[in-house]
Amino acid sequence: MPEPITPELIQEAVRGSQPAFRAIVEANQGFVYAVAFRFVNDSQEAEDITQEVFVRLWKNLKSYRHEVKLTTWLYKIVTNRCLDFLKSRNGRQRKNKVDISTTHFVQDSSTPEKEFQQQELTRIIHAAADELTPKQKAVFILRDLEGLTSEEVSEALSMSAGNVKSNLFYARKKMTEKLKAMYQTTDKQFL
Amino acid sequence: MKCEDFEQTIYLYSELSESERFRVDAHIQTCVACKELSQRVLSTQGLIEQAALAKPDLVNHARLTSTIMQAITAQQQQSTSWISNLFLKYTMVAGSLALIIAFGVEQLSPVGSVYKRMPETNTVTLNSASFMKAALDRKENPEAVNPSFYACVKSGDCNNPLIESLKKKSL
Repeated sequence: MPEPITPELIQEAVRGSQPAFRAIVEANQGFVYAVAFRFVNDSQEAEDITQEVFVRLWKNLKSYRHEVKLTTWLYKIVTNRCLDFLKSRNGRQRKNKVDISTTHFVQDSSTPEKEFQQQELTRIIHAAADELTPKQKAVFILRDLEGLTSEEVSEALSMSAGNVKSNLFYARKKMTEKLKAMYQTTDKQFL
Repeated sequence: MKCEDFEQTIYLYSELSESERFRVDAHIQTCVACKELSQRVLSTQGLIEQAALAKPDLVNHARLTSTIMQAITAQQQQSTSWISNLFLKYTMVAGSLALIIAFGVEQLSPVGSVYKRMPETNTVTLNSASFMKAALDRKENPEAVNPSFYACVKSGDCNNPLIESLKKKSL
């Protein structure tokens, strides 16, 4: 999760302060990039989307409502942008071309072997998630990979609670089936 | 409830309330198929949670921040020039409209009108008598008008210096 931003800093940015906006960018670009990458599986595309997200944020900062968390708003912008990308011709062409080899991951592995296993698992999860519909993928990424609550997912995707649950059910079901199939074909133990 | 009814609740176990979880747990204790499914779902969730720990990270944070800030500065300049262009455009449109309105008002205004209609011609029906009246008046009361150059040459009565010089030359 990103670092919290003070309301005063947001106010300064709303008034047009570029240094305040830079601080917001520095604190949040990491998580925006991570979400974008999980959607598009391409570091260059993810960087471009991150840039577009912050330009869009700067343009619309005056309409920012203080009752909504800035991070929720950013999740909303990045998810919408990623969904547009997935629906676009470019996004459809990229489907099933998961290549995480050029991307750096913040690992939680103590040994090189564990690190390799972690990378392999990440690749498999990303490949399986690529098979989901854009909405299922969005719910899966925000709820299961980013760890947002169901209410936050609902807010970020402008989706009803029932719709979120329905998409999450189909996403988890497909992921379970895909992972089982993938592990079976790679002769690895699973479940 | 049948096993199929429990399928969705098993996948959405994390989203359930305590009472709902209790009901699912009670069913799992008595149903082998649902217990198996529950274990499979839990294992998948474990793998997903493990994968979630590996966050995609930017290689160069400073470079992306700089790119974003440059894009924002460019966008700000673009919007400023767009506003000034828009202002110029609207000023020109407003000026043109003012000229068109002024021209229209002048044309429609009765003050200074150069047209005077004869009372006889004030209807759509052509009254030839009113046009003929002027010709008939001229015929009855001919005014002394200067004869044309052709008439002078033909009659030879005019006191025109050019005709006089021509006459002398011909003599």
